[in-house]
Amino acid sequence: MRRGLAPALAALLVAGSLHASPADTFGLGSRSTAMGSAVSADVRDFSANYYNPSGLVLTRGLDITAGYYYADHSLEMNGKDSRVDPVRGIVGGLVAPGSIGFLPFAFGIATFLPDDRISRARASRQEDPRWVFYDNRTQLIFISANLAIRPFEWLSIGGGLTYLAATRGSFGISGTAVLPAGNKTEYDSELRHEVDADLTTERYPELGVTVRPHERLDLALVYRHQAAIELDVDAELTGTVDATLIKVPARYSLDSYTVNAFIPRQVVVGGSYRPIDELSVNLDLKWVDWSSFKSPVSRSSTTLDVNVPPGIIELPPNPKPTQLEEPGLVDRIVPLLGIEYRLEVTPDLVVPIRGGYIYEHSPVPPQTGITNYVDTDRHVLSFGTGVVLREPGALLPGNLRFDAHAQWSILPTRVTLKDSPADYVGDYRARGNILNVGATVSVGFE
Amino acid sequence: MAGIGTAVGRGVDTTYTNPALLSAQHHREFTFGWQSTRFVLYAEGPNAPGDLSEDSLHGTTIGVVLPVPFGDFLEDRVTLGLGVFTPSTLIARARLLYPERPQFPVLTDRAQTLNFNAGAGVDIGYGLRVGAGALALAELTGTVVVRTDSTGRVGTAVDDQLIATYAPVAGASWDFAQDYTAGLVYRGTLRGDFDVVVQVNDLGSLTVPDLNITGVAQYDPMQVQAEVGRRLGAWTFAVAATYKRWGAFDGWQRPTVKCPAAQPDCAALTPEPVEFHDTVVPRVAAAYAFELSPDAKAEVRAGYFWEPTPVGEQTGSANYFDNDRHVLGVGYGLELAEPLPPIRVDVVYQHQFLAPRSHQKKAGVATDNAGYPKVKTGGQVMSTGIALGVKF
Repeated sequence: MRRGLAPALAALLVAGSLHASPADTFGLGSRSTAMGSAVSADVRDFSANYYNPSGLVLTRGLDITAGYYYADHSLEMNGKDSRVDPVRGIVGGLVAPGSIGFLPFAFGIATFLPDDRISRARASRQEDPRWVFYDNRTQLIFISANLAIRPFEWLSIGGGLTYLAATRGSFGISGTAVLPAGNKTEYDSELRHEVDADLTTERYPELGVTVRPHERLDLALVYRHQAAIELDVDAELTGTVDATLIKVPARYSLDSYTVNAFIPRQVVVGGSYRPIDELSVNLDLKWVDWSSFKSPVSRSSTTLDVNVPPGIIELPPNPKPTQLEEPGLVDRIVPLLGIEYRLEVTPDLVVPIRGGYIYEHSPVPPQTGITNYVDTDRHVLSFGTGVVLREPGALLPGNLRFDAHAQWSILPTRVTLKDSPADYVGDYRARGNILNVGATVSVGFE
Repeated sequence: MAGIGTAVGRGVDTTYTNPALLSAQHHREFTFGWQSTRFVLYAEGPNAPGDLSEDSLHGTTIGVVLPVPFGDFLEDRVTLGLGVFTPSTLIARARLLYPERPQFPVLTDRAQTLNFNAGAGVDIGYGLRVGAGALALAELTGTVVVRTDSTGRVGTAVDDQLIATYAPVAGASWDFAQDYTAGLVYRGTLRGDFDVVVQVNDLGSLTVPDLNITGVAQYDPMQVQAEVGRRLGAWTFAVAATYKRWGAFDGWQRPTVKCPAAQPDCAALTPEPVEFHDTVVPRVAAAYAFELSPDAKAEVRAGYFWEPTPVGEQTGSANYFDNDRHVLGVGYGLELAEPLPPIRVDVVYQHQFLAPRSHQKKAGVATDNAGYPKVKTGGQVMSTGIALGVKF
C-alpha cells in the first residue's frame, strides 16, 4: 500500500499543468474577442484590466459588464477525439473612472469565473500525450484588479495585479491497512488522515501605457509579467500492513519539487487608427516568452522502509526517479488584427460590426523524444456584432450595450514522428478546432 | 469598533457588516490596507506542549465603494461595494490535523483565509435601507487514481479542482428616530470542504479501499447580528448582539475509510464527535469625531465584545482548544477634504484576551495524550492594521 499511496498523494499536491490565463486563449469580453483581441490601444471597458490597464482611465463613466462564453474543443489525435473539456463561465467586471484632485484616476476589476471550478490541476507522466495549451490551462479562474491615471491628455498609465489560484501542502495517512482474509475485508482498515494544505494565490503584475499622438491614432505598450509557482512538498505515511499472519510496519516519505503553473511574460505593442469616426482598425503584436517555460513534471525523491517477507504481499516496484526532459519551447510573436465599424442607425441606436484574426505559431518543438506536448499552429477568426442604445431612459444617463461574438480557432494538422520505433506513444497526427461563442451586456454611465 | 457596523458602519467594511449601509455612501472610494495578527497561545499540563503560538499573519485589504449614478427615482440610491482581504498569499488553509494534536482551529485557521465580500445597498427612503451580497470561499475536491501502468510500475492519475462556495448576506437598516439607527444583518453558513478520494487499483495482492482525504477546511456558522446606534453630537454609540449557529457544525474531520453498504459495521475508524453549541456575542462601541481644521476631521473609536467559545470541553482524546475571548479595540481615523487630497486614513489595534480554560480528560483517554489528565489553555491575540482610502 505504501508504494501506491505516497506517490499518489504527492502527485495530487504537485499536480502540474501549463497554466495560463483563459483570457490568453479565448479573449475577455465580447467586443474585444470579436476584434481578435487586437484592442490594446482601443479598449475602454472592463476588458482593459487584461488588455491594457491604462485604458481604464479613458472610460467616460462608470461601466459595468456581465456576460457568458462557451468554448468547445474538437481536438483529436490520430483521428480520435482527445476529449478536452469545454471552457464555459461568467465574465464580467467594471471600470470606475474619476479624479483625485485634478488627476484623472480609474479603478477596474475583471473576472472570468468558470462554471465548474476555480482551477484544475492534473498531473500526468512526462510521456502522456496532452494538448499542452488547451487541456488544462484554461480551466482557471481569472481575476485582475488595476488602477490607472492620466497625467497628460495624451498619456495614460495603468497597472495592477492578476490573481490565479494554486494548491500546495502535505498529507499524512497512518494506521493499519487490513488485507482481505477470512471475515476481514479491506474496509476493516483502521486508517486516518491529516492534511495541511494551502490554497494559494499567485499574483503577477501588468502595466500598460496608451499615448495619443494624433486625434485619430492611439498607440499602446503593455507588459504582463510571468508567474511560476514553485512547490516544495513533503508527504509521510506511517503504519502497519495487517496480513493476518503477520503485521508489517511500513513507512514511506517523499520530498517533491515542481513548478505547478507557468504563465509567460508578454509584451504587446499595438495601435488603433480611426480613418473615419465610424471605423477603427487595430493591429497588435504580442511577444510571448515561451522559452522561459519550465517543465511541469514533478521532481521527487522517495524513501520506502518496509520489510515484506516473500510471498506474503506482492508489491509493484517503485517508480523510477523522473528524468526531466527540457521542454525546449521557443518564443513567439503573435500578430493580432481587429476592425470595428459602428453603423449609426439612429442617433440613439448604433450597431457595431466587428471582425478579427490571430495567428499563433506553435512554440512547441517537434516531439520526437519522450515528451508529448501536443500543439499545432492556430489560426483564429472572430466575428461579432451588437447594439448600443444611447440614453435609453431617464434611469440610465449613459448607454446600454449588448455584444455577441463567435470565435473559430483552426488548428491545422501537425505530424509527430518519433525517433524511436519502440516509443511508448508512437507517431501521431494532431489537429482540431475550437468554437467559442459568447455575449455580454454592459451599462455605461456618463 | 469590535465588529460593530450593522447600524453605524461605513465604507467598504459594510459589504460584510451590513450591505444596506453601502447606500449611504455617495462618493467613490478606493481603499487599500494592511493588517497583521499575532497569536500567543498556550496549552499547559503534564503532557501539553506549552507554547502553541502561531506565526504572525499578515494580509492586505483592497476595497472599493461605487455609487451607481442612476437617474430618475434611483438617483443617489444604489451603491455597490467590493472588499477582499488576502492573508499573505493564501486563498484558504486546509489544516485538518489529527484530533489529538493540540490546536486552536477556530481561532487560527479561520484567520488565514481569503475573505471576498461583494454587495449592493439600496436606499428605499423613509430612513430604510436594504442590501444584499455574498461571501466567497474556495474548497478543494479531486480524485487520485493509483494503478500500475503498462510497464508494471506504480502510476497515478490526478485531477483536483478548486471550487468556489458562497454564502449570502442580507441586511437592512432603519433610521427609526432622529439620530437613532437600527440594523439587522443575516450571513449564511460559509463552508469550505476538502474532499479528495484516493482510489487504489491493480496493486499486486494489495487491496485497498477508497481513501477519503476529506474534512471541513473552513467553517463560518450562520449569523444574525442586530444593532442599535445613536449619534449624540460628536459622539456615536452602538450596541449589538451576534447570534452564531455553531450547533449546526459537525466537526472538521471525516472518516478516511467509509463502510460500504454491504458491510455497514466495518471496523473503519470514525472521528470522535466534537461538541459545538450556539453562541451570542454582545458588542458595544463608541466613537468621537472632531475637527482638526476646516479641511481635516478626525475620529477616535473604541469597542469591546465578548465571544464565548462554541467548542465544548475536550474530555476525550481530541484536543480542539478554544476559549472565551474578551476583545478590546481602539482606532483612529483622519479624513481630509478639499483643498487637501480627499484621503482617509484609519489605524486600528485590537487585543483579544483568551480567558483561561481547563479541560479534564475522561478515564480511558490514552495517558500519553497531550491533554492528559488535565490541560489549561489560554493566550492572547494582537491585531493591528492601517487603511488608506481615497475618494475619486
